[in-house]
Amino acid sequence: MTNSDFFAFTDTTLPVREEQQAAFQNAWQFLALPGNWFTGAERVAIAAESRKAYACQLCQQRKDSLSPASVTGSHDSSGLLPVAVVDIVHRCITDQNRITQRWVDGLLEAGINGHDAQGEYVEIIGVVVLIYSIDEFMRGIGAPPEPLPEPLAGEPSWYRPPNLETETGFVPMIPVDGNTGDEADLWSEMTANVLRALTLVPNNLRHWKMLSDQMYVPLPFMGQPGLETGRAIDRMQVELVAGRVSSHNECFY
Amino acid sequence: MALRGNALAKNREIDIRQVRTEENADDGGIDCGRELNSFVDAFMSHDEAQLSQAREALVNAMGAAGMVEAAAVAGNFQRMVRIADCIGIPFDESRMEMTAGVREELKLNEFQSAENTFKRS
Repeated sequence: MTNSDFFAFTDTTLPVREEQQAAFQNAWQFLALPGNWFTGAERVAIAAESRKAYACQLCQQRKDSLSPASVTGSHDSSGLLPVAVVDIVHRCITDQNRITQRWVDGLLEAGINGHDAQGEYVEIIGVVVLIYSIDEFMRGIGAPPEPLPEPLAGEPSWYRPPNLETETGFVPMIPVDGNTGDEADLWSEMTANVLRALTLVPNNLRHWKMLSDQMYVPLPFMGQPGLETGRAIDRMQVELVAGRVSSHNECFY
Repeated sequence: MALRGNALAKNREIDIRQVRTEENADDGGIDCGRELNSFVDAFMSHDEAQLSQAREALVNAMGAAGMVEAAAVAGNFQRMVRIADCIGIPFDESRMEMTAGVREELKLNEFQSAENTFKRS
């Protein structure tokens, strides 16, 4: 299948905008390509694993327990990925608001996939949130999840940005004034912690922005309340949906 | 916060408590607010029958294009929370003071993920 064969929406009469369709196709291509720390095949396997998390018995038991650490066992997984990778994927989907610095430090210390554990952690999260947000959109409109792309060949880049800070989150990220050199395009003047969060793998943010432009509002609109995008939903309606989803997720941010 | 900012920009009076999940008595001053809230609640419940019903009601209220956009925003914010929580980022300092009232009003400081902000304060 070529890139344009995905997200054709031929089975539905729903008016998915061409720009949305293109953003999803672009995301699928990004998913299939080698990343910084994982091959295309591993990235697609991570995406496939994320689709197993909701039905996972261990995740359900952990979700129901006072502390996720009190429940041990194995995830219902494809078996294609290291145990640590599977654990990160499932936790990100089913129990993200109980992820702690301690848990992440433990993972990093034990190692994840044999290379740069911090980079691997961030790349896994980047892949999971990308596919999950699109899968959730599809579920929202009543469409089945899109088949995953065929992985593209090649080695990871092993790229770690040179300019990083460690004071903000569980893992390093590009600092506010770090939009220089190869990372100059990441933001212009203003940024925010949520924009910088996944920048240990800078392409995460590049693709985050493409998707966010089509699934929320384009970045330039964010600082201009009341300015309408011309879409079939107004800015207050957008923020109502955003706020209510975040409230369900107990998202403080 | 962004909801209030957009309402102020449009000189509209809204009930910001509409974003909290226990509130859905009326539209809160937002066009199709009830249908949007019901759609989000059904979406987050993972009850496909409830979601199907809420989707249909939303299409009737806003049109199919509006429902598609609402689903896109919902999907997007399923991503945002996971980025924030998995990386443990605190709320940006520059916005803490500005949002104090809203956080208090909506009891957001009680959320578990607030810890990533307050442990650093």
